[in-house]
Amino acid sequence: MNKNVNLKFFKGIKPSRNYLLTAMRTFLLMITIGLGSAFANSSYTQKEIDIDVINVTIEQLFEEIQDNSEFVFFYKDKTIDPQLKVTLQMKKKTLATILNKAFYGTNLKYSIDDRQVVIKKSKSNQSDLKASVIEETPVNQEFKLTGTVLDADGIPLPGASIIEKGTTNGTETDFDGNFSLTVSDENAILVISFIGFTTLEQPVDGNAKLRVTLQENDENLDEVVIIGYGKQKRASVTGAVASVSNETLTLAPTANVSQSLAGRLPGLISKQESGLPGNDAASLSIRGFGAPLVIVDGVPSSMNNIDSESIESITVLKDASAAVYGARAGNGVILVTTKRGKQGKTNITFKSSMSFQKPADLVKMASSGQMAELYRETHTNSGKPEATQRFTQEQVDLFYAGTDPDYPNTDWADVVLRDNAPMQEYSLAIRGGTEKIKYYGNIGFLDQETMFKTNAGGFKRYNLRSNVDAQITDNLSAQLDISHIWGNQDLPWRMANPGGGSIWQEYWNTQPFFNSTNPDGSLASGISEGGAGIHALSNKEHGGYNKNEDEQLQVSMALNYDLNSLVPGLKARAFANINQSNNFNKFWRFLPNSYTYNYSNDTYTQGSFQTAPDLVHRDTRSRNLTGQFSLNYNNTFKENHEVSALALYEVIDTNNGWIEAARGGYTTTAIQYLFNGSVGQQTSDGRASEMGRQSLVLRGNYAYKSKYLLEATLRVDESAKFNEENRRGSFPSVSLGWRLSEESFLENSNFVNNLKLRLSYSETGFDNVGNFRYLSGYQAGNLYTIGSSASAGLISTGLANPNLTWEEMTIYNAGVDFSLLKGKLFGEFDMFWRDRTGIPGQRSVSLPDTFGAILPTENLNAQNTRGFEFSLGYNGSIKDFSYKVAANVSYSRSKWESFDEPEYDDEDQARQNTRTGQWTDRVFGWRSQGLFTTQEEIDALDFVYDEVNGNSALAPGDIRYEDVNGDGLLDWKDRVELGAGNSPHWIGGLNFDLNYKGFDMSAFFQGGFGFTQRLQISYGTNFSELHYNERWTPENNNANGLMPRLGGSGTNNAASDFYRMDSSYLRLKTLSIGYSLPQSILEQLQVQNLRFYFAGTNLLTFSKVGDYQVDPESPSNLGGYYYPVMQTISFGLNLSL
Amino acid sequence: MRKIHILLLSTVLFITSCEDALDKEPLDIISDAAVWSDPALIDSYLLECYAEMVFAWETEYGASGPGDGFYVWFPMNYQLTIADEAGRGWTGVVKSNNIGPDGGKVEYWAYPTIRRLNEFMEKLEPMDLDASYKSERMAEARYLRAHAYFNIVKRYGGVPLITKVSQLDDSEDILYPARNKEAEIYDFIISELDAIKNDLVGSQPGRATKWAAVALKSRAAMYAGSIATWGNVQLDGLVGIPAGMANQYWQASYDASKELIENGGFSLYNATPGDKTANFRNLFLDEGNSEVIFSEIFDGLSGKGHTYDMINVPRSYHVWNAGQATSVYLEMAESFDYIDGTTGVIDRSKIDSGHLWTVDELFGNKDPRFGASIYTHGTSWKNGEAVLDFHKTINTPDGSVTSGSYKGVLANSRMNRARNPFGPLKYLDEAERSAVMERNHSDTDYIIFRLGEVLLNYAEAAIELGRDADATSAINQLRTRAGMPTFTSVDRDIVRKERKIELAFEGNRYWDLRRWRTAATELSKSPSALRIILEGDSYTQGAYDVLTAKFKLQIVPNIDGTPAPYFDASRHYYLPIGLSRTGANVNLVENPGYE
Repeated sequence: MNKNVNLKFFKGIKPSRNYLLTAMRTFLLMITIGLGSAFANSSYTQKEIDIDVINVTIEQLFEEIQDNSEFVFFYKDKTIDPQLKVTLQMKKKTLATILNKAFYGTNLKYSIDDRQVVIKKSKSNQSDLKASVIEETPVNQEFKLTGTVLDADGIPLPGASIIEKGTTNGTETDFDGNFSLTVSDENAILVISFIGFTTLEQPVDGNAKLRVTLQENDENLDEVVIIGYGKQKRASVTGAVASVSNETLTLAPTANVSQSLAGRLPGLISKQESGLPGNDAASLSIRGFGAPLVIVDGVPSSMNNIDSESIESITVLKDASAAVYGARAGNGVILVTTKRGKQGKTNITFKSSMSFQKPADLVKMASSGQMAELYRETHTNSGKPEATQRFTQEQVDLFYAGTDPDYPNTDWADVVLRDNAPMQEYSLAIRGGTEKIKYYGNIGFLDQETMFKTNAGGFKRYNLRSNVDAQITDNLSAQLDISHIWGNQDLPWRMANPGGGSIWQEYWNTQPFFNSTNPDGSLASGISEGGAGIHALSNKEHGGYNKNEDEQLQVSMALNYDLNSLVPGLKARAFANINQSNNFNKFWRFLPNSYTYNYSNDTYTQGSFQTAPDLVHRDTRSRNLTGQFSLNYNNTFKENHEVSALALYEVIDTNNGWIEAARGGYTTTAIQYLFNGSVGQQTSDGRASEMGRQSLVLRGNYAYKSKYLLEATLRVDESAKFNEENRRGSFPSVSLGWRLSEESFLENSNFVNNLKLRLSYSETGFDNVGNFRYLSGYQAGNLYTIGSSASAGLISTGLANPNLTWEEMTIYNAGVDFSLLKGKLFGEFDMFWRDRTGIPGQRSVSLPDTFGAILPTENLNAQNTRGFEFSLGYNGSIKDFSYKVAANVSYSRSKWESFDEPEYDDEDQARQNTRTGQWTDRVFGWRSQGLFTTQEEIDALDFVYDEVNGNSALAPGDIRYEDVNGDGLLDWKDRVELGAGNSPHWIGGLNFDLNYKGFDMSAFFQGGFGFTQRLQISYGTNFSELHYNERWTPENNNANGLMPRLGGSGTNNAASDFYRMDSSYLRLKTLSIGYSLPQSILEQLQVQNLRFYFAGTNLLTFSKVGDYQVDPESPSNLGGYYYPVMQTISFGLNLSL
Repeated sequence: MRKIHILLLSTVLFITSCEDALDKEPLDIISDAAVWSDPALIDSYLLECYAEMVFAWETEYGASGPGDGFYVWFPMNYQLTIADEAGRGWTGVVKSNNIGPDGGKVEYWAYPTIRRLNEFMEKLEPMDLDASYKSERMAEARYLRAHAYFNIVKRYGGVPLITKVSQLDDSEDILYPARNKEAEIYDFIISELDAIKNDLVGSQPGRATKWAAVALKSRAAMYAGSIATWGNVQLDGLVGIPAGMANQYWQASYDASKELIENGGFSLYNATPGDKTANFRNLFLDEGNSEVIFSEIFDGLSGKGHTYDMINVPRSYHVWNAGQATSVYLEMAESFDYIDGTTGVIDRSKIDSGHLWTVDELFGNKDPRFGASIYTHGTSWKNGEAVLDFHKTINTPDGSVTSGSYKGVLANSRMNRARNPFGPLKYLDEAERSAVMERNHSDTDYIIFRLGEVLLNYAEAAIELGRDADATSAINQLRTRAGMPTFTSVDRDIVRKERKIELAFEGNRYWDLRRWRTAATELSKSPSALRIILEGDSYTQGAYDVLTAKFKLQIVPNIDGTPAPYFDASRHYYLPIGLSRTGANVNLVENPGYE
């Protein structure tokens, strides 16, 4: 490539800031080829060159340098005074040294970025500068110093810029972060800056050897954020985009990276509804829209199970910024980007942590005496005869006394649960590279055990990743990425189920009335009716297991070609990815024999009888092929007009299938493979599906003076889900930005250093409506037997709707970004409105069900969602003590714009059932007024609970409801709106970061507000201790008691506000405290950095539902009946070499 | 520049290879055209309609409905516990809230199946297929449609009669149909069955046959006659049938029963006349026997299984030590008379006097059908491997032992938690199923129609038509087979009581009480339990024998507790159409009492 072409082409550019042109070049390079390395390297800057010119113009000097090196100079036409002449004779000097000499006494400044050198005028008055330079830098006072620039983890920063304050004198750090510089005197101040880090002013104070640590700056305007199909400088972003970096994700060890996102990103709503190892991902929803599209390194995938160490950043696209993903983007997009190689010395990091998990909330069961008493009370209160009591009063007393071995009090939680379930995590990463090859490699291991001490297995995960970038020729570069994740979830089969039918059913049915062990060592029965007990079914040996081996192999290759020779600023890229997921499931299940030992007559009574084991194997495979070809263009015209464009073609081909084989009737549990089962009891099954889509993406960006920003995109999607007439859709978006801080009236403000207004409009889709709904046909249905054996009927897939297509979303967004007080105070505010139309629905509600058919799915309904996000942060420091406080709050809620429904004649039906114009998550029920405390209150009621039986079933201790409509009868017509549904409308996060010398501390509070859940107090046959203590009894005759009388009126269980409770919460989600060893020790150890830390998650929770021992994030109605979210305490170390 | 060519070339190749990304087809759907040209697939279509019928249980509740704990899995059991035969053995009572404003627990709205059948007939009609094949399949579809209408008319009274496939662009009066009169629905059922019975030439088990059609007519016409006789006409005949029409329905039922009895070729099962109890029990286990007219075939493991055995075995013999989910009421057990014809009601004064009973004295001489239909204290289990023991507490010279043991016998038997010492034995297959008692593993066929029921239909119609001699003859056939003394003449009460005993736990009782309009009386009673208190003096250490040990009895009233069961005569004889249905279709008039 002829660099003179380049030079000429760029000659007319007028940069508006020192570094802008360089940064823009860098940025454009990155956005174009999408390579991971965000930072140009500094290797070439150290090249030593000879120069020998006599009385030439500066321009001639540049040409001379260009002829002898690969440096390229950029400057605007009138920057350089043609009268200015220099004479230089130097051997083996770096360019910086040469330019320092050449510019000495002029108003010229330079900055070097790899081979690119940008020249501009200093703002300072020329004569003043000259004068000061002349006066203040006598040659004999020069002070020579060396130093190292590191990031907070102690990793060297190559290419950081060091400039002596008030001068043009400066240099950059080398591969190892080292620099040397001669400054005017020993009291000089160094201004040290690096992209993505807070600029530091460091006094020299006579130190000839400096060690400087730069803090990363989340709000740095030069920060590069990942956007759809590329990257963009934060300052140029016109959409609502939030991102979080690796450091935040890895503050405390979590088994699943989604857990680390709660509350971190404004507008991202998350809820973790299970702590089950291998299934503990938090559900994510952007702005309450629903499940977002997740893109990992450019292709649709899942973020679960990625080693958090290998994640560079996670970005959330909330508005028009997501529109480049078209028909799938309506709920927003989450982009996960993994780390890539960096030029420089190889950095080896090792992270290890040991965590101890225990449930954040766990219901404590009542003792056997208490529970027997409650059984009697329930029985009596429901009017049943004493003769059929399960326990006599005498037996209750025996349980309380605890002296008779046939009347034990077993704390089953103590028998089966441990206080601390260990979780270990190890991760080793190497990162480095040369000019030609850059690499990142990571190997990780996670071992998370369950909270059971009964041979209950757990989850193991092995991660391997290799991301390699190669510069093949000057113009051609390649990228080769491989990621392999192998997860092995091995749990007792009951444990893998959520809710009912799970191990939690056993937890609520295994009773304290039974001994946990038998004298002869046989398995003790823990349930009087039902299974053997939680101790048996939480043990893989006793009941079998459910193993899931998940394997995910994701391989990508990309080629990037620089087409500058054809059209300046044009680049081409081809990208291909194979994403192969396999799941191998082995389900081995039986029920063991169990026995109860009767001490009084020395006999064993058999409880459960062993069932013959059965074994089900299921092998699931899915393959996703993605291909992309893109052209990228960027250029700047007439100094002020920055233009970039992207054209991308994408094709995705998906294939899924599974086969299943099963046998039953095993005569032994010793051999757990198919061959040993009964041939007479074998079944098999299998299915497959395929899908494809192709898309064209066009994007154009225009910026005028970096002040007025415009972005427009268009995506054309074609999906095989829909029939040929309806499969093509076009999704346009446009967004505008105005950087007020670049206007003349703010440009020199000391108060405002960034202020940007953003506006966007986009049309996107959501195509998650199932495949081939446009076809009608038949599928296998129910079984029936004619003759001797059963076979499946054929069932119609229902009426087809050839017109079915994706939902359409229109999002309007307005936002402002600001950064004040030299970046110390920063924040963002966004407000949005989303119209969602064509939500698939069935006309089943408005059409009577005598019609009889499964009605076709149609694009029927519409919703709108409104909300806002606000975030605010402050950076500060006092001497060695630095701190950062950041807070964010988001709100979102949706209404049905229209809903296909009948027009109800009945006003109560209309009030409760009509959805059009109403919030989507309304909940109805009776209004309660506490508990009855006297029979007189009941007798005085002017309405009845039951049309036939009147109020005869009521007694003190039952819930008192309100006859809202005053018609004398409590029925469905009296149900009123009780509040919002199960997901928070308000989400907030509050983060504190503190640093003091080697110590760092981070505390992160997260909260969800404005939602309710139905609390269920008891499940199965057990009662909790809380229930025993807080229930209504004649002695505890409290109208405001937590729970009504046992065995009372059936109306006590009705949907009402008695149990539906505000679940707002605030919890200390993460706390981490770390210590990094000081440099003096590190040098002796010959390591770059060593940090020890303590971290905890879910350490504190403030919530009203906590009174009921229910976790506020638990699935509604299932508090105490699901694998609880864990509280963890971790110890770890991070080492880098 | 060569490299760029390679790059472009490979890109082009890649894109070309992906050109078929949009050329995708569903891999699990059979097209409409393929189905209607292939008799095997047409049969499969009809099989789906058979599968959707609620033959074996009177609720679609089991198929998918909302959760009611374990009962989701055990719908076959459910039909027993809504009548006065039994209560639920594990958890609370459901009778009192059996029917609610949203339909309740026996809700069934057959229109999806009816549409499928209508579509079947419309699609099959123009097909060029073998005429005899076509006429039989067509007749089967019409049979199933008649059966489906019978299942809904007995719940809701008159319903919209839909015999054509409606489309989305049909006129409003088709899409929003009004209800037909109750009599019109019964007339439709009867005329359809008459029209198609001779086309039903098949005889495979599980397939509708001519005699199934005749038996359904016998039952349906009897229901119509009952409603005309004892019901009230309301809503201009949408519910209720004018009394003047009673005789024609009774006659239709009588004629159908008579035709079947005389020409059907069925005979009362009598494989072991020497052991009346075993004989009656095997009637339900010996599949496809001479008495069976139509049954739903279950084959257990192959996928079409039910769960009746698993949930109804005696507690100790359940894999999870549960079982006896159906707890038969004392009153039901007492309905079975003694073999000498004396009443089966236990003498209360004998109980009060502290009489010591033995198993033989209490149950030994009961109607043989008692021992075949109910297991209880002293029932031999698993071919004599065990004897069921239901005692709770022991009476000793020092007082009562309620915990611990006495003379090596535990104060409370393993089965003492049963709410009543009676469980359903009819249909229970103790021999095979004890090995694999799992959900959906039972393979015992469910008999939809048997000759025994048709004889009772015949007797009932005969009584209402004044042909007492015919009734007496039919009842005596059943009494003789059962091993009970015969009657010289019978009346309505005797016929009804015989029906209760003979058809116990077969799913008829609840609907019989409704059509007789006696449910308000019978289902509002608080049922009782029996408690067996072992006499410690009656056995010696180490020599306890359930069959010889003596016991006292105690009657436990109001076993189901509060709220008391009730059945409101003013409305509960019909289920509500339901708010959601009347809301969606203004032409659907709600049943009386639910507006």
